[in-house]
Amino acid sequence: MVNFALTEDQSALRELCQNFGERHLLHIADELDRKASEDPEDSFPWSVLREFSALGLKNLPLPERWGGVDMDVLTHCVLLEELMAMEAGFAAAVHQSWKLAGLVLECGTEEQKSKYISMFAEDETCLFGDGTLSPITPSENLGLNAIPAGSDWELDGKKRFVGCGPLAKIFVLDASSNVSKDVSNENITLVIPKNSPGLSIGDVHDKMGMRTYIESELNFEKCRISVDDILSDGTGNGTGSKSRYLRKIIPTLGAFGVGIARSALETATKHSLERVQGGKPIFEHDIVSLRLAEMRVRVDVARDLVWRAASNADTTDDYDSKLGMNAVLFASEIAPFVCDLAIQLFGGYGFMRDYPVQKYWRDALGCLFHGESHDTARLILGRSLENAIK
Amino acid sequence: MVDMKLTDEQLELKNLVKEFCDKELRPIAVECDRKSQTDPAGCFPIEVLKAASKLGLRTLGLSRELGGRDLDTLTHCIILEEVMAVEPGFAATFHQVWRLAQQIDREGTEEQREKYLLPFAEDDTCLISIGQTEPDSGTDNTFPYRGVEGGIKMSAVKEGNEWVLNGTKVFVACASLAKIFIVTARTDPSVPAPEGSTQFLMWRDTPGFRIGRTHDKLGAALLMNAELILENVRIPESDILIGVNEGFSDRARHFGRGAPMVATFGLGVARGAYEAALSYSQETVRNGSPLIQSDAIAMRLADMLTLIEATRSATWRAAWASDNREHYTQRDAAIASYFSTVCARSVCESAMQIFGKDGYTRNFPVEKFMRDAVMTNHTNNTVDVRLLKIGRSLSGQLVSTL
Repeated sequence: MVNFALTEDQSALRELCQNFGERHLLHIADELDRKASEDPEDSFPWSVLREFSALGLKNLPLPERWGGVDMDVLTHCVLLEELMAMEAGFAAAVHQSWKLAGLVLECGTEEQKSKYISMFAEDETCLFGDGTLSPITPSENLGLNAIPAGSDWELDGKKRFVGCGPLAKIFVLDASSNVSKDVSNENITLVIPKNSPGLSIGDVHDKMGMRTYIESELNFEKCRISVDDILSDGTGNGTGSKSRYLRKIIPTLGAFGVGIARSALETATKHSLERVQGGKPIFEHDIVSLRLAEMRVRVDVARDLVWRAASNADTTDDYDSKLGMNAVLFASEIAPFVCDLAIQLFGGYGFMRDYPVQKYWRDALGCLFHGESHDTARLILGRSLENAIK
Repeated sequence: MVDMKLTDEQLELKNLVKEFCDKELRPIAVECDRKSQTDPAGCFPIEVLKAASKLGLRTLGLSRELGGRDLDTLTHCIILEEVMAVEPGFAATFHQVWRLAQQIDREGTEEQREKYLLPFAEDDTCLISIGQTEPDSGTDNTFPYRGVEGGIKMSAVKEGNEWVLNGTKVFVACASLAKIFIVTARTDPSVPAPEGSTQFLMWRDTPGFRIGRTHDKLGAALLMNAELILENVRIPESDILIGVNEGFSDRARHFGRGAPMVATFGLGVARGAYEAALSYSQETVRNGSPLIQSDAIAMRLADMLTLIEATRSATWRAAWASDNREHYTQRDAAIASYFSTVCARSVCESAMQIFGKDGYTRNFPVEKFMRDAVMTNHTNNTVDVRLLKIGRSLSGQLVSTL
């Protein structure tokens, strides 16, 4: 039966995230944004992450024995929106660790779980680094090759845009194992620790927005891995547990846009009630009212869609990931649009770094590159309709 | 707990309605629309209505004891979408009769239920209309405007145990066909319309009551909007629905159920256009391959589907909230209905683009959906008013009526 009400537990967690964000993130967001590219490791707010862990929030996707609540997709979306509304970069780092911890739990062997999940659960500063493919596009050229070496493999090559590259203690990576004719033609997913010999951190990408979500290159030179490091998909043909899990969590990418757009909307609403022009708060001018309404409509509709997709992912056995892609596409598109309206509402101030709307806009544009470009995702969705019945 | 699964009854009704539409309505939709060009008052497919009545579809809004299904808002929206995606004008007729029969059933007196609903249930062609808008009072009623000179002008003056009504209504949906009418008239001209208006129930054959011209419209031809002309129509006190000067009360305005339902208009029209474009792009071969294999077409379809799913989500939320009053806000409902218009206009235009010149011809249904979509611009409220209400509500103060 259709229901849009959160459970008490979900509401309590949402409030916890909200309070956490207001106390620890909101006031340092600008500072984090400014210094992120100077010294990535130092600029990351480790104390904030420790606080986040101390509240039990980092471990939410884990089962109870590791201090989590087996967080479902919907709760993930609800909490992520709160964090995104505070500081999108930090939120993206959290999202990534939540997602990858879930992936290891879903596909990992018992040994992998007891090694990496324990490590993640017990170390309050332990983050996952993301060198996986996007959940939406299977890419062809991974740039990282797993070359057979005896009974093991050696990793050679480079990964770009590895989320939390310089910060993470555990990496989940996709590599091509099709470099030799002897090996079956497929990509493999690996989970390895940061201190693997042959793995080194390369250049940090200096980004327009989401700067606290530090992304870098990873370099691999004769990095030895064994079959025990492989995160099994079950099948390798896209129907296994890994692909299913990655499709299932697609709606969480929609929470990025909802949260960022919401912060732009809230900031603009507050400003419009304070800023006086023409003898009254600009809120009372119809043109400003209409602009705020357009923003509010986009944010609320996007949230409804994200929730609907997330709920379907949680409760439906034959979950159709098209709805998840709809949610990501819509939320990612409205975010820069809403931020743009906010900047215009601020007039010249919107262009100044004194006000946060320009940061929201820069962060929002990051939503258009969740692994693949926005257009690629649109195209994939469109192509999937080729045999769709109405 | 957040959940998006429909109940068994919702799925059953949805399938029933869908089958009916595919069988009875889809084949005649374009032809009826064409007929409306020369005969706006005579284009309605009355035999389809009779077939719907046989299946019990016309009376779904009634309580179970009267043979209906006591539709809640969400179920109303879900089945309405199915009809909208096939023939928007006919769908709006269903919408009207479902909600108004339910309104009389829920808010009427026992005597009114007997006088109106028993014959209504028996007569396969009985439809219900509500007349509110007048030549000079549209948005003044709903925004609302607080001046006493604005809003409804149709007067109702008490004489003994009767009220005497005089005035004209316009754009009254289904009025060409309806047999039962709810008419809102000004019972106290000394206060603003929202505080001084009353709803009256009447049969079509009441002396002094007549139907004026049927409006000749851009789209939604089967909605059969017409004028009502009332000249010294005498209505007994017992035919006042809800209460004197209660014509704009929450009870009279269905506790806000209308906005999510109206959001379904845009949603369903968009879906109809999308489905037509999807089939066309799968079946039509250009440059040696189906159109959908063109990247531009595929991306267009993806964007259309995304807009539709977004609108459906917002509509379901608004509908769910109107069924669960503690979650209801006027703003959420206005957001759904505003966005559904944005969606319908945009999706229909994209569909036309996919069809190319074919889309501009009457051989395909998209030009009709495009015209029908315009109906969502002004149903219940103009889009500007909806948006303005949303904007004004953001300071924390909700506008009083929606």
